Formats: sequence, C-alpha cells, structure tokens
Amino acid sequence: MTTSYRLSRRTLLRATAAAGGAALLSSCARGSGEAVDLAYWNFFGGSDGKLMVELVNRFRAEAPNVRVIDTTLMWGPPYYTKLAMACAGGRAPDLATMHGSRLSTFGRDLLDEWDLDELAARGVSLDEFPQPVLDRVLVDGRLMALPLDTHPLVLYYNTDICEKAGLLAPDGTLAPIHGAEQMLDAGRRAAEVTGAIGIALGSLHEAHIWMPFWSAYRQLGGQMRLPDGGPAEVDRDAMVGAMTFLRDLCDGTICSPSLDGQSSPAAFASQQAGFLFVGPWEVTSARTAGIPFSMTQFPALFGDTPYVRADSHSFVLPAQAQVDPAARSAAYDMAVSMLRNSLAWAAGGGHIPALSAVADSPEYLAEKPVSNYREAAQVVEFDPEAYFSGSGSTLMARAGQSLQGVTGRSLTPEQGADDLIGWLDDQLTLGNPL
Amino acid sequence: MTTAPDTANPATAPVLPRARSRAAEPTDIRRYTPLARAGIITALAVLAVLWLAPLFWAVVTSLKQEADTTVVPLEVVPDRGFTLQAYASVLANGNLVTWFVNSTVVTVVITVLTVALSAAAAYGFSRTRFRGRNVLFALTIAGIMVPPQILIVPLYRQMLAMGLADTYAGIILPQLVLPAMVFILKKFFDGIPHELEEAARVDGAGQLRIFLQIVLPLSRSILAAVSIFVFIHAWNNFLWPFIITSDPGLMTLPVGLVQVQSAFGVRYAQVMASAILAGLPLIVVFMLFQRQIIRGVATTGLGGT
Amino acid sequence: MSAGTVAAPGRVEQPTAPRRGPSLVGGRGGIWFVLPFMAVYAAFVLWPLLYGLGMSFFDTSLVRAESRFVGFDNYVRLFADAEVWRTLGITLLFTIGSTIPLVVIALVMALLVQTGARGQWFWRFVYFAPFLLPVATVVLIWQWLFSGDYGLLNAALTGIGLPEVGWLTDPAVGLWSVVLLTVWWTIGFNFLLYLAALQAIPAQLYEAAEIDGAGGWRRLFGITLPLLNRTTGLVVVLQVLASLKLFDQAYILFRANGGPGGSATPILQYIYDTGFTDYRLGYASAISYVFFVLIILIALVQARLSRRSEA
Repeated sequence: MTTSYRLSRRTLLRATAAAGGAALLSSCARGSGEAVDLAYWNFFGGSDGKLMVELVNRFRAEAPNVRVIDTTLMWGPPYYTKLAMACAGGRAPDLATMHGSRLSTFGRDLLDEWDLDELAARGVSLDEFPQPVLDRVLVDGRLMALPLDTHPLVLYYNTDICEKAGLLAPDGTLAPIHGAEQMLDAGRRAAEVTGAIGIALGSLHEAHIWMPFWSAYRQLGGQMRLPDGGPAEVDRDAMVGAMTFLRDLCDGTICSPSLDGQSSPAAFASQQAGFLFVGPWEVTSARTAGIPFSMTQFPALFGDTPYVRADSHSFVLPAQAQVDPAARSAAYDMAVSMLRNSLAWAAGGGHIPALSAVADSPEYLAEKPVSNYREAAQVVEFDPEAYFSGSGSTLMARAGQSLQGVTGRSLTPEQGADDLIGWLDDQLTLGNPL
Repeated sequence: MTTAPDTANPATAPVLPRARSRAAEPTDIRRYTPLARAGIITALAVLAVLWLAPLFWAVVTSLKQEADTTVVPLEVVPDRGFTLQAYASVLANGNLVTWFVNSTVVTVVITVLTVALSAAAAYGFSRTRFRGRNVLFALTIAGIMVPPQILIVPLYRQMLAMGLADTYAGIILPQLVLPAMVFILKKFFDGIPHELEEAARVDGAGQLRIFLQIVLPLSRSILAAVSIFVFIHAWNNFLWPFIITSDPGLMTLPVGLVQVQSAFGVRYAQVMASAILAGLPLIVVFMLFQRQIIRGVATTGLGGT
Repeated sequence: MSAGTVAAPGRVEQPTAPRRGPSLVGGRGGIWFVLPFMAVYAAFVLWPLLYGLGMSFFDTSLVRAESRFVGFDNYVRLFADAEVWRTLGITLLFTIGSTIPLVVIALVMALLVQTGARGQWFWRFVYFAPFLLPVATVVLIWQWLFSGDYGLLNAALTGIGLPEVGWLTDPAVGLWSVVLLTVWWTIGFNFLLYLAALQAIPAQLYEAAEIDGAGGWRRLFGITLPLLNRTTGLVVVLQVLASLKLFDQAYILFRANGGPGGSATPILQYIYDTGFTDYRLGYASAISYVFFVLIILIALVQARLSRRSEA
C-alpha cells in the first residue's frame, strides 16, 4: 500500500534532486549578480528571537544578493502544523527551523535531504557534529536536518541563595548533587532561604514538565518504543519512579505545582527560588534580572550517568512542488552561515553549538556560565521516536496533562503512568498517518 | 466562525411585528420617575464602563513606552508620558500593511461577488419559473443548516487538489456561499409589485434588464444591509483563511496577527498597537455609518426586511 | 438552522401582498440567474459535504497520497475515543455558560437603552462596537487583561482585596475566561436584535397601559417581556448554534494548547488537531459528521421546543 507510493515518490524526489543539482551548477555559472528570494521560517518568539534575527542579518550582510524573507511563527503545534500543511500544499518556505526530535513527524515525504557534497563544498562535514545529535538527524543514512545546537535541560542556581543555604563548594560553584534525595534536600534548604520556594519549575507548561520527566525516566533506565499499531513498549516502573520524583518535587515548598512557563523563570529572576529547571534559553531573563546566578549540567538523580532530555534546533529543507535551484543554493549558504556564526547564538541564548569548530573554540569556552554544561551534549536523550512525538508535539501536550495530574496530586504516580501509557496505546492503535 | 450568531436566519423573519408608524423610536425617558431614571442611567453607565475598560486599557498600553507597560502597581499615566513609538515600530515592520491590503482585497471581492451571486439567484427564484426551481430553492435553503466549520477538512483537501492552497482564490471561493442571503433577498424581491415589471416587459425588456434596471434599484436598502453583513463577516473571518494560508505574505489581518510574531521578548505596547490598528478600520466605518450598520445587522440578523 | 420554522412559509409576512399568477412571472431564462450561485454552492459546499462523508470511511492522511477504505472503523473508534466526548462536553458547557449571559445581559442592555435615556448613539456604540473587532484583536487585548503579573483583571481583584485568579493557568477557570471574553465580544449582536424587536412594539400598547395606570415594572412584565418571548426564543436558538461552533477565541487565547490541562479544548479544535496536526483527515471527517448530526439534532429539538412554547 504505502511502499509503492513511497518508492515512486522517492524516485521522483531523486529525479528532482538530480535536476536540481544540474541547475545548481548552472546557477553558479550564472554568477552571483542576480537577486534571489529566500523564504525562511522559524519559531523563536522569545528572547532568542532577537539572536536569530542577528544571525539572519549577518547572512544578509554576507550575501547581499539574497533577499531573505524571514518569518517567525507561533512556537509549538501551530508552527509544525503550518509547516506540514505548507509542505503538503507544495508552497513551503525554502529553509525552516525544526527540532531534531520532530523529524519523525515529517516522515519521508515532507522534507528533502541535505546533500553532503553541497555541504562539503561549503566546508561542513558530518564529523563536526556531536554523535548523539547526529544519530537523531540521520535517517537511514540520509541527513534530514542540519543541527545548529543542542539544548539540554540545565540546572540554574542562584549563587547567593545557595551560599546561604550551604550548598556551594569551596570554589564557589554548586557542590555536586548526587541522587534525587540530595536534589530535593537542596531544594528544601533553598526554600528556607528564599522564604518562598526552592526550585522553580513551570509544571503547567508541557515542555517544562516534560524535560525533567524524560531525564529522570531515562536515568531510571526507562526505554520507550512506540511501534505502529501498539502496544507501547514502556518501562512502567521507571515511569512511576520519575512521576514520584516530580510529585515529591512539587510539594508546594520545594517547588510550586502552579507555575507556568512564564512565572517559573520569573520566580527565579526575582530570587523567589534558588534553582530553576528549564532549557538554557532562560539565561537571557536571568541576566536581564541582574541576579547572581550560574548554570550547570543537570545532575544524575538516578544511576550514575546524568542522562538529560535535550533537543536540537536544526535546519531543514521543506519539500516544495517546484524547487528553485538558486533559492536552494542560497538555503545551503544561509544554513552554513548561521552554523558558523553560532557563537552569538550560544553565548546569548545558552544553546550548546552543534558545530565543533564553534563548540571547541576558545571564545565559546570562555563564555560563562553557558559553556559549563557543554558536556551534556554527550549524554543527551531525545524524545521517543513517533510521528506524534517531539518538542511541541501531541505527545508532549498529552503527557503534560498526566504529569500535571501527578504534580497537582489529582493522580497518584501509578495512576499518572497508567493514564499516559493508556493514551500511548490508544494513539498507536490509530495507525501511522505518514 | 465566531461565536456570535453569524448567519442570517430566515427562520426568525416572522418574529418581529413589523415596525408601525410610531413605534420606531425609543420610549421617552421622561415617563420614568426621577429615581428610576437615576437607576437606568447608573446601570447604563456601569455596563458602558465594563465594556469600554478593555478597549481603554489596550489604548493606554499601546501609548506607553515598553518599559512602562510592566510597572507594578499598574498606572494609567506613566511618569514618562505617552508616546506613539509602538505604532511607529509596528507600522515600520511592514507585515501589518501587507495583511491590511490582503484583508481589504479579499473582503471587497467576497462582498461584491457574494451579493452579486446571491441577488441573481434570488431574482431567479423569485421572479422566474423554470424546471427544477423548487428543488434548487429547497437545496439552497437546506444549505443554511450546514455550518462551514464542519467542511474544513474536505475543503482543505479539495483545495490542495485544485492547487488553490495559499492563493487568493483559495481564500475567497469557499466564502462566497451564504444561502441565507439568497433567502433574504428572495423574500424582499417577492414583495416588489409586479406591475412595474409587466410595464417593462410590454416595452420589450428582457429578464436581465428587468433585474438590473427595475428590481435592483428598488432593493437598495436590502442590498446595503446584505453587503454590510457580508463585509463584517468576511473581514473578521478567521478559521478558513487560517487553514488555507501558510504563506505569511498572503495572510489576512486576523490570521497574520495571530500567527506571526513581529517582535521578541516583552512587547506589550506593540502587541496592543497592532491589535488596535487591526480593529480600527471597522470601528471607524461604524462611527460614520452607525445607523446603516445597525439596521443592516438587525435586518439580516433576524432575516426579515 | 431551524428547519422547522422555515418549513412554515405560510407565516412569512410579505411586505406588500404580491399578486400571484403564473402569467406574471413567466420570464424565461431564469435558470441562468440561479446557475452561477448554484455552481459555487455545489463546488464549495455540496461537494465537500459529500467528499467529507466519503473521506470518513477512509484512513485518509494529510501527508500521504493514497488511502485505504476502512468501513466504519473511524466511527467505531470515535465512540470509544474519550477525547471526543471530553471536548464535546467542554463545547456543551461553553454553550450553556455563554448563552445565558449573552441573552440575559443583551436583553438588559436593550431594555435600558430603549428607555430613551439620552446619548442613544453612545450606548449603542459602546455595547455593539466590540462585535466589529476581529477575533485576533479581541484575544490579544484579553490575553493582556488576563495576564498573571501585569493584568488589569488581577490588579482590580487585588485592589479590592480579593485573591488573584489564574485566568489562563487554572484548569478550573480557563473555560470561563473564554466565556467572559466571548460575552464581551459578541453581546452587541444580540443586543441589536433585542433593540430591533423592542422598537417594533407598537407605542399604542404602552399608551393604553399608561391610561390604565400601569407603572414601569408592570409595563415591563405585562407588555414588553411577553411580546419579546419569540424574539428570545430565536436569539437563544441563534446563540446556541453559534456557541457550539466555538473555536477561534479558545484556540488563540491558549495558543493552541487547549487551555490549562486541556480544559478549554472545544470539539472543533479536536477536529482541527486530529486532521491537521496529527494528519488524520479521515478520522477528523468522521468526527465532523457526528458533530454535524448533533448540531442538526439540537436545532430540531430547539425548534420543537419553541413551537410548543408558542402553542
């Protein structure tokens, strides 16, 4: 059923790619004098939006003949729904940002692969990216997304509060935390200092609550496979364990169960909390607030390896009904340019640069506190693979409901796990629409 | 597509007693005792304050500097005074202007075509006889019961197949069918005396001439009412344009404003400024043509004349 | 919408009684006037209606060209899908919760304005103007009012010593925030319908009552409200049908996430999410059809009820 179509579609794509390649050559021959329109979509609406505009502007300066029309759409489901619909409609943008975890949502037909020769011609090769990220963006050996960064869950801490709570090591950094009990205890002690809460976590925001959940679940050895048709292969014990940790965390003292995506970083920024669990991008709000803080790799709460939930902002080439070779070539130029300039992205937005040339550069290593957790790139755990999984996905939204049930204490961890597993099974029996 | 009753409903036509000579004006406030009068004015004023407050706060916010929008406790007049900065930034961005043009083009085309199609059909149903007329009319009336919202899925797929996704035609075509408008116009045409038409026919006028030169000129008021209704409906329509456009350059105002981020971080003044700019055109039109618009909405809303 | 009333054309009043007779309307070529409309109607309403019905028996996907006939699978699945019933419940709750204030407050507004208080232009403008705003404007303004930290609503509440409300974050409140916004936005329409009905009440009735010495309240309960009964019936019908179609403001207000804990996800949003976010067009069509049948049933029941109350 599906194979015949996919084959024909793939052959078609190959043919187009071949034709495109030929045209690319001719476009090079045409010279760089002609203006090219390049449509680029992203979802950076927060403070990293400004950094993204900077990256785009740098490319504009480098390639004056390319007219970049950049659009920032609403983060999450609206963005991915629009992008998929644009691909299905044949009028997708020339270049788009995508979370590495969302590649499976886009299947094989909605995106074109990156041509490694074209990248090599621009001085970029696969061995320059961290392996865990590469594993995710290579699908059947084809490079479907070009990673710009890795952004793991990180641990923010207020140095003043932690000092008063006796949580700092002699060198002024956070004393290492081993195990869930120590984390909870550190939260309790920080709460005594702030008089409010110890740890800020936006448990009402599906992405914020998902990050520590998935990290803990993986640290507990939990695997998740989501085969079409179901049932979901889930480690229920690990899931209960991770949910128990979240419930203990959100006891109203260590962490409030009623913070959302905005109030949680705000609580940290106003020193109402000693710690913050979130992705690295909130470095901006903490800096703007002018509070004494630092950041470190998310600790190992269970087991010895600090596996941590992460994702990668990467670039994709959406499938188009007609590929303009000049625009395609400009898309390669622009993506590579943004990769090369990703120091500003890392320093300002906290993301770990994907390109080793940048990640290993002394300039990046000197960027504190954002280079403190660069090692996390080696222990990152992406979301499970399924067409409904990944950042801003249906799975994340639905899991958020189960997790909020647990943190809000309307569900026990066991009920929460069964709720989520039951939904996963249901979802899988629906069959894969890709 | 809003939660306001948005389709004129012919069912309601018989409800209103027809306005008689002296009934059209409000009653006289002097009929009430002074105490009752005070109560009435107070109630009116309280409701007005509640209904104006959101708009007032939006305008005030849009006139502040960004830094002043998040001052706690809230203040109406910021120390640094008011500024038009937010409006300047929003307009300089350009997107808003593009969407305004798109909205205008789409709305005007929809209004003109919908009224033309509906009026012609209403004329056919009202003044002519042909085979299958009753069946087609019944089919049209049945269409009033089909909410456009339940068609989004097949319609989107159909548009993809027709290559109309992300085109003006794709936005416009499905919005041209408002069977209730055909019903309203037909009912009005039914009431136009036949004598005029017969005289013209004796003079050798054809159907088209009778339609254009006799029936339409006599129907100016109802045509205006229908046009107003269709215009408001199309200008504010969200769901369909939202589904069928993904190219930001083709979006209409309500869709673009919701989907596309034009500023980053905390930008409340700019958000309010763009919201107000998007709402302003119809408000201004309303201030100029209040009487006509109220009559237009009331007549088409209840489906009568 | 209310088929029952449409089917009773005898009650339709004509502006002037036309002379009927085939000879007078014997114009030929009438079909050409009707055809353009019918063509567009057939292409963009009737065809998708049939096409969607057909699609509901396939596993059609947004991103895959071919599809497989699955018989009634989609419908069977739908009846077991808790999310369908949950979002339907939310939709019905919204419909009840919004219709009551949207009818009652609109009536009060119209009665107050109809007393003839000075400043008619102003009152009509203030109560009706929000209806003219695009949904994007309305939601952006209310997101700002609802905002937790800098929102006017919470500032007003704390100002009078009440606790803050999590307008956009509390699962128990989210849907009511949508109701509040909707009442503010769309009340003007019902207000105008009531105003038009009030203005159509013959002045003689009041004059006669006054001669009998009837006061304001007796005029209201003895004449005005009984005469408005049928208008109210129809405003309720229109409002219920409109509220059932909740999507725009809920979708935008909660940035597509369905509200805190999914507490403000109307069924139309579930259809949208199923069809476009999860690519499952066939299944989404099936849900659309069940919802469509439900809307028609509600319309018929209401028509029956209002006819009985008139009898």
